[in-house]
Amino acid sequence: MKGLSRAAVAALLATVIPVVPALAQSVPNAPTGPIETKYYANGPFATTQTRSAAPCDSKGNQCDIFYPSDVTSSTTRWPLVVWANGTAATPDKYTYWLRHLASWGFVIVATRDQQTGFGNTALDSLAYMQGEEADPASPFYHRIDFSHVGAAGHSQGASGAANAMFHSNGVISTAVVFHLPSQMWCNPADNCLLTPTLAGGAGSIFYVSGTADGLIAPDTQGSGTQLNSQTAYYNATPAAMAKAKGLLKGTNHNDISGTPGCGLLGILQSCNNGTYGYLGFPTAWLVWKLKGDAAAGAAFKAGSGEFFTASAWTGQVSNVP
Amino acid sequence: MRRVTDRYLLPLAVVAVIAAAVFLFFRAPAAPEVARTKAIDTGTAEPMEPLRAHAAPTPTGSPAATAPTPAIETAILASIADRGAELRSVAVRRDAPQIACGEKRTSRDPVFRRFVWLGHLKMLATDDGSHEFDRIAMICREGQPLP
Repeated sequence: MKGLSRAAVAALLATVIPVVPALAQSVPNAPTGPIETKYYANGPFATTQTRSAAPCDSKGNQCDIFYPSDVTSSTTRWPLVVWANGTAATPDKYTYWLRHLASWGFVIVATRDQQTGFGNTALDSLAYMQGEEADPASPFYHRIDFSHVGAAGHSQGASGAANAMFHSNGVISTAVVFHLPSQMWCNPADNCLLTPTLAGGAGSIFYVSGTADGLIAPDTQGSGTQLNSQTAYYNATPAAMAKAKGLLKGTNHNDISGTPGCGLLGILQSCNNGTYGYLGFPTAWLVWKLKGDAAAGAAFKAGSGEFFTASAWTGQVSNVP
Repeated sequence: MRRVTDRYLLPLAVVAVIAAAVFLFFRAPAAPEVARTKAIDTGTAEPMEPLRAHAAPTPTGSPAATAPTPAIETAILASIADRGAELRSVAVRRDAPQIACGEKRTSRDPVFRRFVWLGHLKMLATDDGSHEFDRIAMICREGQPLP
């Protein structure tokens, strides 16, 4: 009887306790199509987070590394994503999103630098991982696929991720940039994704912002020669690059830092919806570009891909054939 | 009679010295203004759009704003990371003390330009002469939605 009671209680709890983020329909910016839903969920890998024992960049910051827990026992090499923090932030602020990405089979290296706009510390962290990959004593020894490296970042770190890609001599081939600030927010002016850098760049890029971030990373602009909107950045991106742009409905500048929701103090942290909407398509983009999932790539097909009918998104555009 | 004149001479001299000091103190910023104009003419300013004629920053003198604390100005200057940076007319939004607006200039851009500071995000926008900045500067007004 006692055993039955326990089983009953367990069954009851299983039905009433939400398994985040499994109950997609009950959260803001929930996924609607099969690709977004697939990558909204956590991936198949358990994840581990560690911190470099030594500084990993030229400013003396350590790096946090997120990776599939069985990285050492596996026989495959894993794609690498270099992460860049927003102004005055550390990877602690993005743990949920970074772990989610690692669960899909990526190694993510995230410098603890809080001024990442130039992209130099992101490139330093890439070099650090190259050293780890060549060190027999490292858990990452011969486990990183340096032919498939991406970059991602938030706010000032979005500038840093893009700059890292454009200055990586082709090592970093794609970037997902969250809430890339208008150029008027660049402080100093060159701590920024500059127009000549973008116009002369190569690789691929996915611009992600939110409709409640009209102050820092708005969708459109009315005037001016600076790139002060996501649309302006998108249009200035060379046509030879694969590119996409979209805004999550209702998300603010800091929603990507959700865990995954905003929590009780969300209003104090400039958080509206949490990180739910940032899980699906940004992960799909990186899985497409770095792991070769063609179905994920098809979701971004210009005008007709799943991305363009996703109810959580607006302002979508891409040049993906 | 002579003794009476001597008695008032010292206080008069003190007042004259104070008046001269006050005059020089408030006159002092005029000289750098000339230098800043020259800097623009010689093309040392950053390649930004030329500024339109702007009024002073929105919160200046506004009942919606208060004088900034030294900590806020210190934080703004720290974010600029330029030892030659200067601020003026800085005011903090009364109902949102994390937001400050004013004017700044730097070694690389020696013209005073309007700025908006979001203290909770440690982000600073600089007037580039576009309507987009005018839109951002609206946040300096009390009651505007916060980012």
